[in-house]
Amino acid sequence: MKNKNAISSNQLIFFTVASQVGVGIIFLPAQLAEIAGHDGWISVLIAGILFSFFILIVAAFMNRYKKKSIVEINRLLYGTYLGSIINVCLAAYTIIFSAAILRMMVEAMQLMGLKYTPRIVLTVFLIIPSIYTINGGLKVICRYLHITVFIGVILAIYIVLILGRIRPTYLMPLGEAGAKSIFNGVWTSIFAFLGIELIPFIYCEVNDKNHVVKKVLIGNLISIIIYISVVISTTGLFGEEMIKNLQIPLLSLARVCYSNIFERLDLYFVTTWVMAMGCVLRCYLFSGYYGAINAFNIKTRKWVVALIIIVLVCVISLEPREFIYLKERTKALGWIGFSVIVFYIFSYILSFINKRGVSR
Amino acid sequence: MKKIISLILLVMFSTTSAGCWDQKIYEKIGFDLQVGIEPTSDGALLITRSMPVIGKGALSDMDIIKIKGGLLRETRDKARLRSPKSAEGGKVQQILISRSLAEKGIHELLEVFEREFINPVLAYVVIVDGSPYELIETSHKFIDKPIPPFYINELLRNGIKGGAVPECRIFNYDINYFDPGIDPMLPIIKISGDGKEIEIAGSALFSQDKMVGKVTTAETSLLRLMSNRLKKGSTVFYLEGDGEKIKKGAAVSYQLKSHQLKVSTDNNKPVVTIKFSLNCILEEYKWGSIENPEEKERYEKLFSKELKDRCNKVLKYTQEVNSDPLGIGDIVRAKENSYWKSVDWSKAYKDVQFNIEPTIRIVRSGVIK
Repeated sequence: MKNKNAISSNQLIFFTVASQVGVGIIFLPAQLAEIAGHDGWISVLIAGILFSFFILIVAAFMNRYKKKSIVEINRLLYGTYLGSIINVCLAAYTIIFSAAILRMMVEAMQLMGLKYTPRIVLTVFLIIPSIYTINGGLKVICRYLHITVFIGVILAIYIVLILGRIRPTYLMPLGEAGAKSIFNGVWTSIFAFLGIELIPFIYCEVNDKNHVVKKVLIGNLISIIIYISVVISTTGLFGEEMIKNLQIPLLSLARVCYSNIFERLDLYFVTTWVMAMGCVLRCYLFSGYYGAINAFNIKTRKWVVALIIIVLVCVISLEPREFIYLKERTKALGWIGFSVIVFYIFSYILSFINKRGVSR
Repeated sequence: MKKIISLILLVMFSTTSAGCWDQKIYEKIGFDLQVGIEPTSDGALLITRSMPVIGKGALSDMDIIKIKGGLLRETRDKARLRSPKSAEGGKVQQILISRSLAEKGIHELLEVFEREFINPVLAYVVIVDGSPYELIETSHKFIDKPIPPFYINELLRNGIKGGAVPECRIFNYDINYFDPGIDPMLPIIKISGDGKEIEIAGSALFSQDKMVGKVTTAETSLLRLMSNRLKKGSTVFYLEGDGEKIKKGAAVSYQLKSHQLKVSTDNNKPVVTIKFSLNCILEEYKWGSIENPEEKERYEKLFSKELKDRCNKVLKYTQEVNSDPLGIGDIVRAKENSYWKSVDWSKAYKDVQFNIEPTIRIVRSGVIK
């Protein structure tokens, strides 16, 4: 039977970029402006480089087990009981994260037009494409993620349109925020680079494993470029003082773009942005689903698991009621996501002591 | 079977999802194209909204509604009680603010346009010398002009292109307002020509969000030129002896070739040196005005001197009214940060020493000498 989850290492580039950029880009410029002023892009660069090291460590960890997923590795490293608990926690993390992304998509729709449409209606409609792609397996998801190229081109067009309005002085003097603020900005940026913690979930499905490190690093590099471009262009356009007062600077950037034929270009941006968030949602949702069926070793009736996860994601996404609390929840999830990466690093070190299942 | 299910799902979702947005029938919606804001004698706001009349039967092509209230949203809701159409703000072209209100501060008035996604931040913000209501009402009666929102839009667009009008969209104003080193500048319009046309009467200078002064359109061009925000334009130089003639001055069009703005400090005072060079084409003067290179150089020096004097005059005025439309403060913050942190820029701007060094080169003089 053909494996519908098998993907190439090239597709891993799309997976990495999509899982990192779609959500982090929403609040990052405003959060960085509050912490590091106009030097936020330096924090992004440092965080991106730091994440490249994390990728190297995580890849080295996964390489020690070659054809095994993180679920199997946890059982080997921590034993059946503790390993299973860890696996359930990891699956729960991806499910809660998926719920947060779904909620952000709903909020975006309500913010930009469908003000009074019931949240539950939007939730159901927005998750339908994800159900369809997850049903197709990882291969279909990764093929869908090729759409990130189109999203990237659209984003680049918007940035080019406002390039002439950027004031270089808004990014000067370099390093004014000071080392402490820039370092604090690194912590904030780290949350934006989350997404690579999903790689161990799908690592075993990548065909050419020798290229995994290279391709994930390329994906991370693309994410760094996108983040820096967005932070520099929004800061250079609005200035650090105004950007602090904006909820979603990237959306405000789109609002100032004008074309004689299309008039308000922000309306087109909204469509693109929802697609970008849909990409992240699919990455996390699939990882949650895949992690769950492996954690519970389910071979038949996988659709029941998918249904439970979808319902869980929809229900969790309905809370909190107000958008302002969602920001807090995202921050907390960021910490959990970072803890997952730290956990991988810890497991890597542990794998040198407990060598059960390590490939020779 | 699969295809039938897909088709059913497609029809089902496409029809039900259409119900997610309130139905908006074009003929039943009133698009605010202009919003006029001015103070009333009892401390409230007088909001004037003009929207096009769509459909047959009306004698006028614009519906003008004047309402008193405390908030723009409040007046919109009141407008919906008077107008046969439901007023929507997504197509607003201009926010017309009276000068008297601008002198009290306008920043908070524009907040609603930034807050609500559907509202455009691309609308122009314009100061009206007089009452916005009267301007809208009067311009509505022009018989040889396009409908007022488009007429004013064209005036502003042409003015921005030619240099006479500063960039004045809502987001331009907000960016400059939030920047502690730049003050906003907005165009001023008024009714002129015996009440038969609208004229751009100059630009309003702001300090923070309060209008503190006014410059002419020619001075606006100079300010934009000095801040490297104008690449092409035209002007008239008045030479000695012109005063006695009926035909006065030399008209030139110019193109900015180079621009340099340097900031330094001397005795704890900022020194700003602006060097720029213009390539000019002599467009109108007198027969035989430039017959040899010496003559050309003489005119270049005369034009450069006059330009320098004009620049110094307008900069001195901006210092007098304490408005920094060039964004000198922003450059000081970026390049002389320790000095910036040691002073209160709103007070220090008056002490800036400007050195303006324009260079003019006459590159062509048409097909006559």
